[in-house]
Amino acid sequence: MENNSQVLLRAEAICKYFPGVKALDNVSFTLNRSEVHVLLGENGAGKSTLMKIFSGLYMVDAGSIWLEGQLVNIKNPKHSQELGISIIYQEFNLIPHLSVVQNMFLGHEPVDSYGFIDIRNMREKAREIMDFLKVDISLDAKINTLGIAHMQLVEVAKALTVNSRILIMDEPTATLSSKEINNLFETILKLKEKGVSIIYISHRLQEIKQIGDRVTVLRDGNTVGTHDVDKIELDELIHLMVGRKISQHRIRLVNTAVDEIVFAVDGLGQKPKLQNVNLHVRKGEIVALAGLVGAGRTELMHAVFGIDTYDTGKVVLRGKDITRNTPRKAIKAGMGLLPESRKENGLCLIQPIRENITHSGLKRITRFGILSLKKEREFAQTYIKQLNISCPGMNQTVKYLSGGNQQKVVLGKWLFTQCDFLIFDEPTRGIDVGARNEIYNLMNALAAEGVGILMVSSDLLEILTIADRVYVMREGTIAKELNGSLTTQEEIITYATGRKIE
Amino acid sequence: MKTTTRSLKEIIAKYSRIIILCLICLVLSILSDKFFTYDNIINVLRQGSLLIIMAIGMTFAMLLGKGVDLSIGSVVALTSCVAAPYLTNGSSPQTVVFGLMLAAGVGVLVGTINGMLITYIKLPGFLVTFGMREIARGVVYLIMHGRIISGFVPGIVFLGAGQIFSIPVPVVIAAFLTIAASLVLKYTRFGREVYIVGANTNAARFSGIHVNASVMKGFAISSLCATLAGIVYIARLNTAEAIIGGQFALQAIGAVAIGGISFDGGIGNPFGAVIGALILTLLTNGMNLLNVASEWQTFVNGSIIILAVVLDRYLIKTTR
Repeated sequence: MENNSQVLLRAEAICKYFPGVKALDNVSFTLNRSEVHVLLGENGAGKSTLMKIFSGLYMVDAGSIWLEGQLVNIKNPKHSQELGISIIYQEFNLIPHLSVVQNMFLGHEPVDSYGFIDIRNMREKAREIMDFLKVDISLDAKINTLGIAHMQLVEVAKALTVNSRILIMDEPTATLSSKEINNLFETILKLKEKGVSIIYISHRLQEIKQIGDRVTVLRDGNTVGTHDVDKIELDELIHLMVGRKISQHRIRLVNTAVDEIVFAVDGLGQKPKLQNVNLHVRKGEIVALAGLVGAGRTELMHAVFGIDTYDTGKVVLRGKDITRNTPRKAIKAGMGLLPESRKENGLCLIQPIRENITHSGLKRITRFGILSLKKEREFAQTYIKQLNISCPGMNQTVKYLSGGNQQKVVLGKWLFTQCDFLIFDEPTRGIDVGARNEIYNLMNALAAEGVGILMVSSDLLEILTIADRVYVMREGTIAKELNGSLTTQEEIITYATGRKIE
Repeated sequence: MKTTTRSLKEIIAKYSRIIILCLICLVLSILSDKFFTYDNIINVLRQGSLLIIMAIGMTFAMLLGKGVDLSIGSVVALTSCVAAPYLTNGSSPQTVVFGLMLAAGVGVLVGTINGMLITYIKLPGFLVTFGMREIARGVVYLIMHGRIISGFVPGIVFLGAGQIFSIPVPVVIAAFLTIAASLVLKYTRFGREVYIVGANTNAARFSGIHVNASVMKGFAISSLCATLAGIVYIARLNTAEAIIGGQFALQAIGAVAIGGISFDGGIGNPFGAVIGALILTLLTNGMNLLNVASEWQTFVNGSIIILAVVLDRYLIKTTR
């Protein structure tokens, strides 16, 4: 099999572990010469981890990689590049204030016999590559003057300067217009003719048929299968992506929603990310906002909470117009947000639990500008107990708590404000199963008390576990509304990927 | 067993600066019999009081995590020179009060502008206050035209040279300010918000804290403390001129650095700043008593600042 000249790259039984998580478990993958191989999977299926192994950012814990029949041990990104593997991330790796040609040769500039950069040689090579790609960009244009599509082409050109044989593209079309996508596909075809193999990561199922030769589906860190694109139906691919997971026990047994609407968004738009978003949450209801990474969910949450501004639309909380507000006023009106990135936006890691809990509700322990530390201690004790935060004491620095306990501190912080509407952005990301269920139970209890909950989640199982209603978001707008207790993972992913449009 | 060793280490870490302060005192008393006398100790405190006042202001700026306040030396000169014409001998009490209010107003204005540029325009604090340092200095030169104003009313002279129960008034002012600043930072909502903004500005925003207002207030306080220091300073000299205070900002930064106030914000307290200011003053005093050449004094001061920060890092690492 090693001398099968068709195969360019072969990964066998790759395993990669992170503390508490099996990111890749026995993954196998083969890449043929001159093929576009699509890598498909849900958020967290292990696509990125696998790519980071190929590009030398991660070392494998077990398994082996063969390149042209040779066993290789990819040590670091530079080594990966020397082996002819290049990767284009969603966030480009270009220096904004340097020119196109400087970026293309960054770190491997050709030098003359005196050790100076051989500018003429560099420009000639760059020109050749640009001609081959049929790209019309000035070599001297600064990157920060280019549009996204052109930046991407510079990334492709940069990969060609090191004679890449394998080009990994992570969601290359996520931010492109349809015309730009067609241009990109033409470029990919040219690369193929040149003998470059492409690993193409995408959520957009339609593109697979357009550009892919073969497709490998990953699910929960396992390879589910590799298929020829023209021999498999998209519905079948969706099924493979989602699979039959061990069905989690549905925690939300009673829908506690009442008719009264606590929170409503009407026609919200924020260029270029969000268009005409309409949604509402009832008192006592748990609503999930599903969608793929990049669908605009976190952006929407930041907009309604007043972190970011938006162009059009109306946001109403308990009958009060809080359109284009500040977080301060949103909180005052009764809103809370458990942010996606707890450590960056939710907590002061260097402060004790006690102080973190009162962050958003200092008003409650203040009289005439003076804090009551006694009250603060009492409240901290109450929430530590109520939320079952395991810690040596209320003065423990938050930095040293586990992810689950940190999240509980953030939750305590919002309970302390006695809010009526709470947004949970990816509430259980990076949290172990035990703490996860505790958080679901707490959400349940909150809803029972009449709090409206909007939960952003990329975890379909989580949505099915806890949500009364599900909004599926795609490309910056609500694509579909589903009943949380009746829907299935397949149905959600179908709308999230745009396989089915309503 | 394990817990006792750790807590001992924690205690050392917590009181490391006081321990160092005591060690310096001990060494100086051994080296010079003039050091541990009542007169000298009072002298050290009087010399240190000015630095303490400014270091406490600097503490507010630094806790916010938006960078140091380099403008305070120029603010000392500007505000004291603005007030000085109203403080001269023969001025009515109303005029004196007006002069002091004017100085305070200018001080608050400068600090607020610093804060506004840092928050609304999102410029680095280092750059803003460096610019303001030059601007304020320029303005005071324009106002003074090389003039020297001297001979103040007795009340003002008392602020610089008077004594209360045989303790110099500047020391009393510094002590009061220390206590007030500690209370504000620990027990008021504003003080807590300063710590939150400094610990994590993003989290502060997500928690509905008015970040911009806190930063502006913090820099205004820094500037206002410099104003107070300026009045006390010209009172002691009984003279105001445009050139004063050139090194003050850097000395205050040195004091807070030694005092364990984090340059990233969110960690530290006014007592640390006081200890830092006292350590610097003690060293200067001790080296003067021992007739150490001024070149070496500067060298030692610089080394102590770096050493203190290194020690801090090391202690934080080992206690966790």
